[in-house]
Amino acid sequence: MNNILLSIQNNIANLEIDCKNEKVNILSLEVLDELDEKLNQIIQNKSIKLLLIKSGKKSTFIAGANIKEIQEFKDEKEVLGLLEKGHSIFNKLENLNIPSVVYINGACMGGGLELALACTYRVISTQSKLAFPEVKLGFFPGLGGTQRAPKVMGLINALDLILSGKTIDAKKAYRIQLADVIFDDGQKEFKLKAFIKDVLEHKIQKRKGFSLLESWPLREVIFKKALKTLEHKVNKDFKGPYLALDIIKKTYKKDFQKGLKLEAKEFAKLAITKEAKYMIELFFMFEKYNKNFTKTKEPISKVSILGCGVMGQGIIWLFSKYLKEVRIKDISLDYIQGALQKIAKLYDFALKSRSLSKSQVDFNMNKISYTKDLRGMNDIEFAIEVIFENEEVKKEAYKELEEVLNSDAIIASNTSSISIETLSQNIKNKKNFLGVHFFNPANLMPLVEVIPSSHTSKKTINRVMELLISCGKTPILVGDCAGFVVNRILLPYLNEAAFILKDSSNITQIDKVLKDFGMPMGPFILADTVGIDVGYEVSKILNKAYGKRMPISDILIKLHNLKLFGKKTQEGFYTYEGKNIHENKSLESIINEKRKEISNKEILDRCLLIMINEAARCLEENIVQDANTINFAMITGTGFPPYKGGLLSYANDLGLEYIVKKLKEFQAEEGLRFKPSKLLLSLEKNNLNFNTGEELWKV
Amino acid sequence: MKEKIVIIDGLRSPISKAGFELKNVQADTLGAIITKELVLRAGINYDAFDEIILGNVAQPAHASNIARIIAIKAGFSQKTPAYTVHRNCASGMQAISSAIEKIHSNQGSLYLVGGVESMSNIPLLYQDAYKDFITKISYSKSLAQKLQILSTFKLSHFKPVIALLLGLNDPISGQIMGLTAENLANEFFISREEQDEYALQSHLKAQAAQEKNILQDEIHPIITKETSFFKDNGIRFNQNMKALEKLKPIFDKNAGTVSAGNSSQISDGACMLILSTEKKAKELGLKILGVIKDYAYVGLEAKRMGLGPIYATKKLFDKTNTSLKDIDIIELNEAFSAQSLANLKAFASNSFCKKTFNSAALGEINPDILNVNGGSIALGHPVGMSGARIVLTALKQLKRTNKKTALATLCVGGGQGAAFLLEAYDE
Repeated sequence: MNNILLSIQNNIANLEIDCKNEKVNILSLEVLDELDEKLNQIIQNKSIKLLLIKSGKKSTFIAGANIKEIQEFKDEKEVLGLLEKGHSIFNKLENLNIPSVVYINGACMGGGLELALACTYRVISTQSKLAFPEVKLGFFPGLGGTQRAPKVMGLINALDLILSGKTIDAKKAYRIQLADVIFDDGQKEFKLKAFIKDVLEHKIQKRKGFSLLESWPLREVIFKKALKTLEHKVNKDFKGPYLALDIIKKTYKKDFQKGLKLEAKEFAKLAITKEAKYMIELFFMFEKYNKNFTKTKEPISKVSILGCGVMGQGIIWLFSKYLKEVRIKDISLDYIQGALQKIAKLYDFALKSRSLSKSQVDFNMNKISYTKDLRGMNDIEFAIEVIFENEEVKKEAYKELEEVLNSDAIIASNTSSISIETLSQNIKNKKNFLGVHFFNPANLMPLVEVIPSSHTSKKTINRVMELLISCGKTPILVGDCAGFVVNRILLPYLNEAAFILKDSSNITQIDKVLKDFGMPMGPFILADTVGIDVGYEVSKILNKAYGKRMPISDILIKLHNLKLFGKKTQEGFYTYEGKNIHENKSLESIINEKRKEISNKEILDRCLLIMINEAARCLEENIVQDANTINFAMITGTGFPPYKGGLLSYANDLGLEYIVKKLKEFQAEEGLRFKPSKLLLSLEKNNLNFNTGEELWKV
Repeated sequence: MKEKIVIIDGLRSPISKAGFELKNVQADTLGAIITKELVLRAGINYDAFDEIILGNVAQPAHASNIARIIAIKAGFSQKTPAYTVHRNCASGMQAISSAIEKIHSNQGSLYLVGGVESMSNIPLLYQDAYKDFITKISYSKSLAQKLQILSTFKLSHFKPVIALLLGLNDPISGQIMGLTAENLANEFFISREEQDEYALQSHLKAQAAQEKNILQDEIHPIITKETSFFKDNGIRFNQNMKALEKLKPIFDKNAGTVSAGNSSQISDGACMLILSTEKKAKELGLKILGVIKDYAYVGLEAKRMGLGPIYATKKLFDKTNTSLKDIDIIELNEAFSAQSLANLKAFASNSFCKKTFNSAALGEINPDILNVNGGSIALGHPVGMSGARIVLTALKQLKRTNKKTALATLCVGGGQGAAFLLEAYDE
């Protein structure tokens, strides 16, 4: 209790929301109950002429509903009951006999925005950020958002906000009529008072209506277009936004109470699904990993990148956006202009979305300097090597670096496959050396694998974690082995797809099966995108490290020998001519003429079980400590469908008994690469899974 | 006692003919790239600097007080102040002397100074008549008023005014710079042939220097998404008299001798220096490139502005008790062949010096120590940069050749001259 304070002055009721013992306001069940109680008091006090709701926190209004509460919901009925209660409270607010004004200063998310929508007027400071982030968690607004948002801001704007989950600022909120008035928080004393006075004197003028498009029958076009955009961006299995669109379509301009009922019913159904729980779990994983460091006095702000190829460009872009000094070192300056052009292109996205202004981009680009020798590196605190996978060349680079960097500076390798222990052999200052493995495209992929050697100090790891997290990445700490976690698990998958292709099915079908499963793209188009040359080199290293269990498929070898490297050469598994993508017919000569029948299920199992098996080995070898780290890595590093909970949650759901049985069958037909791992066998024997069997691998 | 003023190091961009490799690089970016590289190479913490002072003539409209913009772009903190100075072609030198004055008045001890110019990006202007037209429209209230004003529109409104030409025109003498060079050619009886021969020498010296990579230690390439530019591009390799002779006079088309070939080029470039005191440099453990002994500025008739160097040098020599035979290296900015040659003649002329200074001739300048790696005729003359460039190149040349004393001097549009006395640093 005591999260909401009610005070009455000059016939104005002030509700100040200030959640006790919390940094931000959360719309928990407790807070909702208090709101209900205060509203009852206000209704009884006939002298009150206006209700003003604001936040007691400095920079948030309400950050949203309590996600933990949603995660703990057990059955549909329970959820439905709670939603109906919430609806009745917001209805009470909306139907007060007096006008209600909400003052929003800071983050106003999800449930907070739905509360604001139930008020008569919304006054928004220019410091505010507003959003319906529910779809990003796999939900949709469930406290009347689908019903009130279209009323307040019109159909087009409401769909845009609800279906995309995007964040808007006060200016945009004013444009779409979500805000009745906006001003800087510094003007609150004057402008909020004036606005309240105007409300009391009935001087607020109605703003003009919404687009003609929103009238029947034209609005059908809007719904169609919204669906098309959604289908383009979001996998169908990701139900939240599709349900929201459906509800709005069914209820728009119809009976309000019935609309609320439908919203509650659909939300309750969704909230208790496995998919929804997995999405929330992922949210908490992000939170956990993003806190995985201790703040230092002087965070790293001056960095150097050795090499400016595709991967280097992404990293240079990232660092130029967040840090102070970004120095490129390359053996020649001939590639710098090309790299800068690509980096500028990456900034175009930020310009288009208006998250950065032209001059901000200009200043960020100017943080980048370039050198072909090692001059001007004295103050560099973190140098990351992004040169091609050659042990000797890398070692030579570290030697040169150590000569110019000061003793505190950290040297990192972005190797995707060479052991960090091996690379650190000749390094003098071993405690400051480690692996920092970004994923391509480094500007977009949140995951970074951080790989210490046996000598790397805790201090170094912490500084690097802080650096990466402050640059918006989510790093995970993994043990040293060939391929680390993601590539070690993913490469067998890519190879397996090629093994299948050799004897059966076809490129399009295999890609479709995995895309339909929820992967962002099929294995072949992924291989073409990453580059067959890269995939081949990594496969070779993995094959050397793990032997027979990671053979390289003939098709991959042949493509590599023919220098068909995928998108970069316009030819790989597919041929690329502008926007036209076709199966590469010239592969027909490589694949077996005798084609076997294969079911979609079989394709899926072969591709996924081989990954699960390798993931089990990663746990067995303590490359990572818990199954969730693998789940997180595969979701954020490869795009494994998040609503399936990641690779090992999927394995749990599939059942280890089934997995072991299938692996044994595949082993009989296809050979050693399917031999079930020890851990998998003992988990299955003990009737445990990756969720319950931790004691079998944890040391 | 006055503090000993030293230059820690300096760096410049390659110079590009206006409209070529650097045409899409704005002056602030150009300056920032060189500044950042210089500070990083020197290994000095940005926050150790007291101020940034830069010379720039045609300040870009998007970056007024360009020194401040360059400072922030280069990585200086917003706590570090910066300002821009303007003394036409001596702006780069003015930045240096402004910093020296600051040191001598105890304002600070470590400065980033230099000059920058992007003559490619000097804008075209609208005529006043068109400006009036636009203003009237924006102030008009009714539609009728607007239409009435619109009816006064003339196509000639669109004829641009070239700000670069305005800038090169001196309102005091009423002459464009090239015509002041013609004045000197006539006063000192300098032929077209002499002028072309002088220009040729500038190109040959610059060519030799570039072929031997002599200037490598003072140039840092400019690489942006628009360009990748490594070497001065104004040098005409294998230039010859025949080609020079063919060029028509451009300022006085009928009676003149000054051609595009024997004038300096309109160019883009930036040059930065780190200036400090000997004491501060030692405190920071920095290696010193050279010493700035003293400097002098003078004024003279605007239409003889090209004689600035001899006037300024005379003042500097008197002040420091120096004579021409003490000088090992001379950088005399080549605004025009005629202007440079006029100075050489004036230096050697007893009658000129008697009449002008009531003294004996300053002496004959040895061509072997003059602009040894080429001058602005071959390299180009980005006006705000040149002053800093000749100081840098003179100091570097002292070091390269293990010599002691250098003179860097230039003429200034509007009728001024500047001269700097430089010395190698003796540990």
